[in-house]
Amino acid sequence: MKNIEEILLDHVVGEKLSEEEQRLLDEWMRVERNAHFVKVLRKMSQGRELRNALLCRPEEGMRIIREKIRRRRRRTRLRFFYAAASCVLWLAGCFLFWNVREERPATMADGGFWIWTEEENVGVQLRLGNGDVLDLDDYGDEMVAVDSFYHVRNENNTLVYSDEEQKKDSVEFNTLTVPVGAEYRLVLADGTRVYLNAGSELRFPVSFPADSREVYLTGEAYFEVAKDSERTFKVHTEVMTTIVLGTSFGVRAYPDQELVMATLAEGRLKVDCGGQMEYDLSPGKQVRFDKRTNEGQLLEVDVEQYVSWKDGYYCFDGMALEEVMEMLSVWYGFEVEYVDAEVRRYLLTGRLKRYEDYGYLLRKFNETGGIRLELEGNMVRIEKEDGDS
Amino acid sequence: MSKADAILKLFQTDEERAFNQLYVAYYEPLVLFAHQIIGESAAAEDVVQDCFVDFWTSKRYKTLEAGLDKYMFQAVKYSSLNYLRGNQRKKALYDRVVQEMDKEEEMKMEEEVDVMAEVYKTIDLLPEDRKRIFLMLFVEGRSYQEIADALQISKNTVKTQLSRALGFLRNLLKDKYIPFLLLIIDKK
Repeated sequence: MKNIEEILLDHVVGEKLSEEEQRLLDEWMRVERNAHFVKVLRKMSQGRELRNALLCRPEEGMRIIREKIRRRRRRTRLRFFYAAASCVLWLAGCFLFWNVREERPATMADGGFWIWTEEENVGVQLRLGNGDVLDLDDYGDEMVAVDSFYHVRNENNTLVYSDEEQKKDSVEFNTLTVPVGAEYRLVLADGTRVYLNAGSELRFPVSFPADSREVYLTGEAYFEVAKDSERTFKVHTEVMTTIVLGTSFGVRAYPDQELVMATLAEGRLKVDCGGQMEYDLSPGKQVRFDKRTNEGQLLEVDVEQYVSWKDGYYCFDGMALEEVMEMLSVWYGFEVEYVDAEVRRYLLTGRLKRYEDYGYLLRKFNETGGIRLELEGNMVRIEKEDGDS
Repeated sequence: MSKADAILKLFQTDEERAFNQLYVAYYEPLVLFAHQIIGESAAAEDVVQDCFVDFWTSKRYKTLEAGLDKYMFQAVKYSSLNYLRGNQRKKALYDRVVQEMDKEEEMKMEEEVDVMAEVYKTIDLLPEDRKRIFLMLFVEGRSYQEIADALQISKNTVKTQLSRALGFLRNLLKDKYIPFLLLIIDKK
């Protein structure tokens, strides 16, 4: 005879119940609280996509929380300043009224007060399973974390995980966060190399369980997966999952970009777009998934263009300007405004070293003629340039 | 010491670290909880974030003696219900018929939400393996067979683990049994 939990379980997953079981269940559910319990269990699957999204960007919530805390502080401070400023204005007004009537304290009123530059410069960070956050810039080539189960070393901008032995039944996850304008490398416990591009985040177990290798990515990374015929290696992003046994490939999945891509350099790769479409890739192939239309596309591409960032340069051969700018903005942290819409589709060919400052870069673009780039703050304005005018 | 108590204790010595740990431990279950009440992902995250912000700025941890998890779930519960009420009020302006939510309806809903809070709070107390299987089945909606394949265990082990998890949850719920529910009369 099944106990009530087993009946309940079969009921929730939709297996057929015997008459007797159904009767027992009905009886049990007559207690309202039990009925609620069943309802709650059945509704839990509504959180499926949300959970997946949270796993893919584990730091995002904290980033927003900190942002909100900052904003709230700023508001209280502003309120204080506002009170103080109006007080000063009032006094100044009285004073001026008495003295030089035509002069007005314009400098106070035009808002010089409200400029706040509290932008924090956050570097590369590693969050450990217990919630501790380490600023990796503070660690030279030294041990970052030691646990009886794993060691993490920092060797010239590369984190190296070595896993002693797998003993834990619970898997501890770490998260590496790389801000705009930086990059970092990582060697996972199984020997897989990961190049993490600017503005990206990777969540991974400090040592892989015996049966699977799974990591979660937001942003862009290049993987050289260590061969292991027993365990597949999975990279989850918000809308796409790539599955491999041992191979080298790039994944790009920035939350603010519409296109998510996986590009295969070597080996074989399976890509699953949200369970709707599945692709088998051979080297040189790329899957593009468009978040707006929910459509995937299998293309033949020049792989170098999509993975060269890991070697410190960009190259493109007939790539649309818009796409080039998306790639560059991640590294240089600028934003782009297109004055003429048609320039988005201009095709560019070239090779750029990555570590040059972007003033130089923009001059190079301007030299090509055809387009004109102007920098204002961190906004790059692009318009077309008419050769004959 | 429970995880929640350990975090609360850490707040006495290292607020930053404790806040981080609070986030790692409870952000996801709280968001899933809020989502199940509200039904919108973005709003759910927003509500939970605001609860974290309140908790931090009001330095609530200084006055809290125990039950950090309980406190967070309560806070999220009330904010989520408030969010819903706000929406309903807006809706009521359009179809004036429903001036306010039916009192009985509202009580029922709040009860369901309480059960929900218990469930999400309790999942966290399950042993790691069981928790993983539980989430795979109920949240990710995978089948017994898929779970068995993914974890390379037998289908029966999956079932056993799941019914144990359910038993654990159910017992906890029983303890929170509210007396007035006994008034429910068998209609037959």
